[in-house]
Amino acid sequence: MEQITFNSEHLLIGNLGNLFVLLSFASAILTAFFFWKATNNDDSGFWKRAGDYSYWVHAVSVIGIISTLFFIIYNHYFEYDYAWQHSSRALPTHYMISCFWEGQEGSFLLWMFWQAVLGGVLIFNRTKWKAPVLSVIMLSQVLLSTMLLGIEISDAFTFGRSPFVLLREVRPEILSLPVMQMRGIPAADYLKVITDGTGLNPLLQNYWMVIHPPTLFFGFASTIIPFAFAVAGLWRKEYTSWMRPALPWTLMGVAVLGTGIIMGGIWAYESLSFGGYWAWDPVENASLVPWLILVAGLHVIVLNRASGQSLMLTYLLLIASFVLVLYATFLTRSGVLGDTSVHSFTDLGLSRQLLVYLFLFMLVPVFASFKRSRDRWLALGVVVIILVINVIVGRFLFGVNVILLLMGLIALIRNFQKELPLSKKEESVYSREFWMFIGALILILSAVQVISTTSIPVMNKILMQASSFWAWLADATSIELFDSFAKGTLAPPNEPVAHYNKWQLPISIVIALLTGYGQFLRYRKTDDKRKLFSEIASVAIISVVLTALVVWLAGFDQFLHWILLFAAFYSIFGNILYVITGLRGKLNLAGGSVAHIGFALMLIGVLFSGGKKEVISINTLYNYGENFSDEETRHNILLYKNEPVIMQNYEVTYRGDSTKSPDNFYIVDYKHLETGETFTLYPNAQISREMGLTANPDTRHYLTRDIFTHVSSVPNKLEPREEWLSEKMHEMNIGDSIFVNRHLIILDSVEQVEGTSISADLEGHSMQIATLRVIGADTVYIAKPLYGLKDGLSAYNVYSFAEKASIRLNYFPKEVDGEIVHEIETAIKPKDYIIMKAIVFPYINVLWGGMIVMLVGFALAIRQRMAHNKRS
Amino acid sequence: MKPSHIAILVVIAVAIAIVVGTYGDASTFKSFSEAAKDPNKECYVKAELVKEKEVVYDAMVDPEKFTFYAVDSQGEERKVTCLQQKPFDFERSEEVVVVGKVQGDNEFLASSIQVKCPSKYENEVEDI
Repeated sequence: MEQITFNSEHLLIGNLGNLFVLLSFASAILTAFFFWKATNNDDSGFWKRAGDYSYWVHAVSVIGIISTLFFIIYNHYFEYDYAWQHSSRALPTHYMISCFWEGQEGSFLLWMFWQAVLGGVLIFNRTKWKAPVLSVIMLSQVLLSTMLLGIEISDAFTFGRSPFVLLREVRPEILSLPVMQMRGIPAADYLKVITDGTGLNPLLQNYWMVIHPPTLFFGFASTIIPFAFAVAGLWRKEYTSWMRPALPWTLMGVAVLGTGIIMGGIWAYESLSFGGYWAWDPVENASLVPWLILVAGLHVIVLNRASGQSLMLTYLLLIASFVLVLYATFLTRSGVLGDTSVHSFTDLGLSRQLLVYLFLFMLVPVFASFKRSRDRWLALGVVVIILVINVIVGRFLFGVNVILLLMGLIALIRNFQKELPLSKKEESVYSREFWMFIGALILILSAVQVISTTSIPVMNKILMQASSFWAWLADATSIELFDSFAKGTLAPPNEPVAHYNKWQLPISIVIALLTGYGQFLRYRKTDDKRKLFSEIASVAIISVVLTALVVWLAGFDQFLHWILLFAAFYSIFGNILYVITGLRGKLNLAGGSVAHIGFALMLIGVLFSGGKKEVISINTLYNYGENFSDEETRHNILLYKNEPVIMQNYEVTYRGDSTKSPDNFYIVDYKHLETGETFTLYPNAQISREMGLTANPDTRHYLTRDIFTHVSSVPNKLEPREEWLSEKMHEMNIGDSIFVNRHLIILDSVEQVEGTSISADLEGHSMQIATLRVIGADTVYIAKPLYGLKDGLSAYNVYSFAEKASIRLNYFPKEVDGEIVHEIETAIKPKDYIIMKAIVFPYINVLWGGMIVMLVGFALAIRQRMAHNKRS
Repeated sequence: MKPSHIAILVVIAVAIAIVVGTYGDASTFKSFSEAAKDPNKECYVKAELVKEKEVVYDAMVDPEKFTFYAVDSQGEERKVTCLQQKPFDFERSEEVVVVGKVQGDNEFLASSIQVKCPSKYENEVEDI
């Protein structure tokens, strides 16, 4: 095939980018290796220095990749697939940064960036933990950078996906577009046709989407530090002393990942139209689970530092939180969620690499736990052989790999027990550590529940491996469930929210109670039980009274809601009392208590805004027939332009729309029927061929409630509209009536007149005038369509309009068997309208306030732990 | 036995209950004919929109109801009534996942729908 030289491409910059990718990969391997050597040879400064230098090379190349990619996007080099797919000329500069997280390659890059930043902080660490911790982080960096490599191994398999691939390489069809053939443009000049990119998803063009993904990825990246410290502890056989430096990092991970998740919730509430801040979507769940486990890990570190208990659990939780981050990444990026989540990424062919990443990091702690390096190499050998078998067979051998992981877990526990036999110390149920341990277990339960439901699509794939077994079991037991195991047809619950609440509501009750009560206990043993009981009782009494009051005022009718309310009040007052009596009001020590209070406030906020949420746009205009009697599903109302509609306590009027590209704003006036208060909301929607209608809500905020409004549907202005629609003929007798476009139309009379009585031009015509009454809700129009005959032939007819009713009427008399039949033709003019949904969220500010209080608590705790580490 | 061991056992028991509960609550992907066999049970059906047949939606009549025809993976075609506002530009979508049940003889009554649009790129080539 002849070589084409393509014109006006900027290839240099892409080559530079690819060079940085290769450099970042190579330097990550070297840095990991150097710090590994440095860990095993403590005395030698050489490996440490080498590690430092190659780390900086790595950091510079990561910055290099990011800058090159940004340069390409900024200069609109659409010959690059990434720029073409994720940006456009119209995109404002401040949203260009969001292009980084629309594509998978860019979001891996973001993750790498944060991991490199964290490495950059740890590189200045002067302790013995620096080398092993950085070695682990850089190993993760190696695996992340493979995602960007883009080296073609075979036709079917490319190793990684470079953000610098050219559009024509990914989609060769653009070289022979019909339009190019039409205009006689040769393939070499294809860029003359590719003048703009396809643009950034409108959902990402939102300020929350500028800050939410980087925060979330920072949180994901920061979970590796506690993981790396735990591995370092196993590696150096110093099983507990790593916890002190790891604790502030764990707190930071909890705080940052928590902030990221919360921002996601605010983004969903502010700019998505599903009507809430949390939908139990798999993608949300996937970030929640590592957080829950990290929170549990945090509590277990604290309790271990104080009492020496639960060491094994500390390791398992800190390791699990990073492994779960990898699992979350696999879930959202491998395409496995496909049919169950609306906003996961599509598969870029990276799922195999992600699985290797996941499995390898499950095994890293196992390698580290072996005492003799011979055993380590042996274990590594087994893993490599199994990996190679997977590659040779060309498919993921699930059973074998799971057995490998189980063996790994057993080896980890065994190695661990050889070194540190489980504590045989007496334990007291009157100790704080016992209840913190219980709390950690409850958090694990919460995580298990979320992950097992979220993993249903993964379970389909796993269970299918033993398809014939399940088929046999289905036959033997005739349980339908086993049949779906065999076929891999399991689907998420039909009512996800109810399903999750069923478990998470009791779990949050227990957690809230534990946070309110645990702190009154002392570590090891609480001697003064009389004081303890009086504290518990006084908090309980206040909480019962307040709960009763709130239940009565707000009208909660579910028993579990009462208990949750009680538990949350208990937590708030318990922690306040603890700060006053236990800590003598020293707020700088009260990080934990403040975070607990924040969490309890969030529970109250969720209970009100979720449990007492009320859709006020109930559609009551129509009777849907017996099959559709379910009022609950009628949550949207139709608003015609300038026609007020009563919606609960409000009169709402749609006033028209205005466009400020790319947004269409719909102007909706609200008027409170009793107070007369008026305000206007501007819910907007972006309409595009690619995404359809993307509705952004507008919300009226009050201190005690929000009125949340979004459009659900609007007339499609992309399609040219017929002016008159639904033409229909009706046969009518005098006095008959029909119902059209919410108006009653009655044929009152038909009279015959001479043409000249209407106009001199109509001489010789015999005219028929039909008189129709068009009766609306509060108006009556008279319409008089004409029909004229000349010499027995239909020669003339004139429409009559009931303009405000948007009805056009025409009259056609017909002779059937000597009788005159009156035929009326009706047509309607579509009016401008919106279909809108409005929800009242009461006390949602308690939720936001609780979030802020919780984050303040984390910040206080980090400050205190850092100060503590510095002092000692 | 130490209290913490009892706690671990209890938690493991609850965890098992949770996992079993998950699969008890789980729904299933079915074909239309399988769904018809169990008309009272909600399920998921993955199907393709029949583009030749009309998608009926009249916001003036009912803003939260539209009907269309879809073919499932077994090649069976059914009328689907979806009790939701019609997703914007629905006519252009290809694959749909509907959650609901079969009602009467033919119709599938969906309470929710997920729409897969053709990828951005394919549109672009059409449009250029």
